[in-house]
Amino acid sequence: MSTGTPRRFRITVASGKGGTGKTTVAIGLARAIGETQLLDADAEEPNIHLFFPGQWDKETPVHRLVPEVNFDRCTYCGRCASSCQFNALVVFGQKLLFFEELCHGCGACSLVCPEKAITEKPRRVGVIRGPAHWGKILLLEARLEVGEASGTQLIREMKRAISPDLPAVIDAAPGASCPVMEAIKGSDYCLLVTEPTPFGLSDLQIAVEAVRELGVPLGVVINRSSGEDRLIEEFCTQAGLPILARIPFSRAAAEAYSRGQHPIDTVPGFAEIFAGLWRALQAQLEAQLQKEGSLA
Amino acid sequence: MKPFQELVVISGKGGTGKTTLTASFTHLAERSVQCDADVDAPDLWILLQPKIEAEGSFSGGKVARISPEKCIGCGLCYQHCRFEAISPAKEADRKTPLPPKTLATTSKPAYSQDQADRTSSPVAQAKTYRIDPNSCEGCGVCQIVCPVEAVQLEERYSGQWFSGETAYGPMVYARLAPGQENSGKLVTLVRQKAQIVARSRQIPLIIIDGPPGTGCPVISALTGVDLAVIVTEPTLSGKHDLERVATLAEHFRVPVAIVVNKFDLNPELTGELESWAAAHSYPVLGRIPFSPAVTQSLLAKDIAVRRENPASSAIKEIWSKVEATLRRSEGGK
Amino acid sequence: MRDIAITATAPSLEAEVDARFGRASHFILISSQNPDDWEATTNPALSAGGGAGVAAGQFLASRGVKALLTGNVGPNAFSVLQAAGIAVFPVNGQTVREAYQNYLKNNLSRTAQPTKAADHLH
Repeated sequence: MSTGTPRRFRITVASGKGGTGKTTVAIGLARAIGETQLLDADAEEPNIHLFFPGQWDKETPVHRLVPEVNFDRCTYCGRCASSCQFNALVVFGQKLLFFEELCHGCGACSLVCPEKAITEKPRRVGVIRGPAHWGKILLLEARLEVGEASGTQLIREMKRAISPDLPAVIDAAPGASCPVMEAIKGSDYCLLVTEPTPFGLSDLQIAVEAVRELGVPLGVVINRSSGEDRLIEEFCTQAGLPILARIPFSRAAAEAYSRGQHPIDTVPGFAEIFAGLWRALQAQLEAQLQKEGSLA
Repeated sequence: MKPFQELVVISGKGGTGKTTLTASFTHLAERSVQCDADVDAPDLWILLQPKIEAEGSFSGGKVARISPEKCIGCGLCYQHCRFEAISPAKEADRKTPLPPKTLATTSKPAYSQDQADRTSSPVAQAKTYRIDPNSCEGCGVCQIVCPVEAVQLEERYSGQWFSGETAYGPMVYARLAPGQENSGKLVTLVRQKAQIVARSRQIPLIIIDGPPGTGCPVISALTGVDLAVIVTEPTLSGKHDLERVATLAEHFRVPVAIVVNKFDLNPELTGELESWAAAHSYPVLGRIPFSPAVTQSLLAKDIAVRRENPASSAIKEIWSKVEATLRRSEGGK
Repeated sequence: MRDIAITATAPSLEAEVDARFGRASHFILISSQNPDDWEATTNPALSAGGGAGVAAGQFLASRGVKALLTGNVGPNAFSVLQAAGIAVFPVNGQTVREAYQNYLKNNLSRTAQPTKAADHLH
């Protein structure tokens, strides 16, 4: 790392749609940086582990609070059900039903209950796996429990586990949903991975619109480039977005990926491409530093 | 008996070629109602080029709003919000990174470390508080605790739907606004609009470009359809997601058929996928080879099957099997 | 008493039965004693973000419905219907009128299970 680059920067790798190569870029970048943390924030479908041959020794459960009804006090008045915006509570006659997976854990029901019959108990949302050692990389993974609707809280918890002593690369879920926004919020830079096709462009535009609202500096990585990337280049020029790397389309890379191998290990030239991405990213971070005096 | 049939193309994993295949099916079907149910990232319109005739806004839920003139700055909303959506107005503009903290332990579960801090230390009272609509979940707790009724819950703007006409018939699609939760409600809306127009214009086939994943949006795209074509690819994540989405379709009693795209990138894994399909009695309609010509078509915003190449031949064969399957199920009803 | 509910794709007895419950477009509420005593209503649960099935179930419970004729019912909705004492009769490829007549003739069988949507796969 050059002396200008701060130690504790945080990069999020995101994309407008699935299948663009976001995970490939996140892993490749982490490898190029060397000593770094790598966080899998695609909590519904974490997939960095498919490339990781080691063991997860540590697993930390994460909980949210959900209501528990004391039926000795409950009068079935139904105020809790009326207050629930998410249809997680139903009351009729002498019956009360609660649907845990619909519950957002907001606490409205326990606030409105006139009999103080509702307390709260923890419900497992998912786990944070790791940190695990993968060469020089420290790997962390957010894994959502089956049946849970949103990984946002889990990702927030995982971010708290980021050590201030090392840089961090976060692999977000695809798209522009709430958990993706959480993975990008507070980062020093966001890389948007796209493919140079009309679909890639359309989804990139959606992603840029979403990320701009977060105030995080943006750059683009073109994956599966054929050398003819005018579609994306024109948009980036117009939108004032730097293109930090072009990863060429490679059938060998696609085949390696299908076997759970990262192209940086199996396809000549890819190590240099990711080193180039890291250099370009460093330049962006240094420019940010000079502009703002400090990061974040 | 419903006067039309519905075909959905889904994939589990994103990026397997679902939309490209859906557009090819649309071309081969010649006449249909097209419905893009991938409301997070709609792409079908790029290939079908609809002329928009109507559009409208969509609300997926509520969002809270504080009236600053009524607010007395007591901070109760800020203390109770569990989604970090409320902040004192003067701080709201500053970019605040999360302080480095350890993972919350489970011995005494506060909702989050932040909230534990907020409720246990004295709150510096600001003049008023602001709600960040991107973080607000519309739960209404702020409204419940506000002593002066300064908080309103309003229907939030969550996206836009569009209806129009393509060379193949009417098309309906939608776009969820960035950061909005996709509960399946907007998917249901575009499907219902497609059904209405299929009925009124007596078009017997609705082709649905389904959303990726296995969650609520996919469920809304699957219910009641006559056939779900699952497009998969021979990768580890492709296989995993194929299994999940096929199981989901089965639970909703939707007949499933499988297409393996880019099969020649890993013929061995393709074989495993097909064995798995056979073991579950899911027909494999065909295998499509990886073909740079398909990318060329896409770059030209052209529909893949309109050009001659090995992938197109495979797609045409697959389509004739889809048609045969649909004809059989129509007869059965 | 309009004690039978039938999900419908349009507000008419000639409409097809809607295969969905929670996000059905309409409900036909009709009396088992008198086929002329009926009404059509749009499904109030359509405006729900999540939990549409639960909201739809609660709506039918509040209307005193005793039997529901529909396509698919997810597990949450099914719990609500069961708790409310509403019997569920799955129906396939029929119009509202046909389903109603089949119900009266005892041609339909009640289900004891939801259409198993399993762990709300995400």
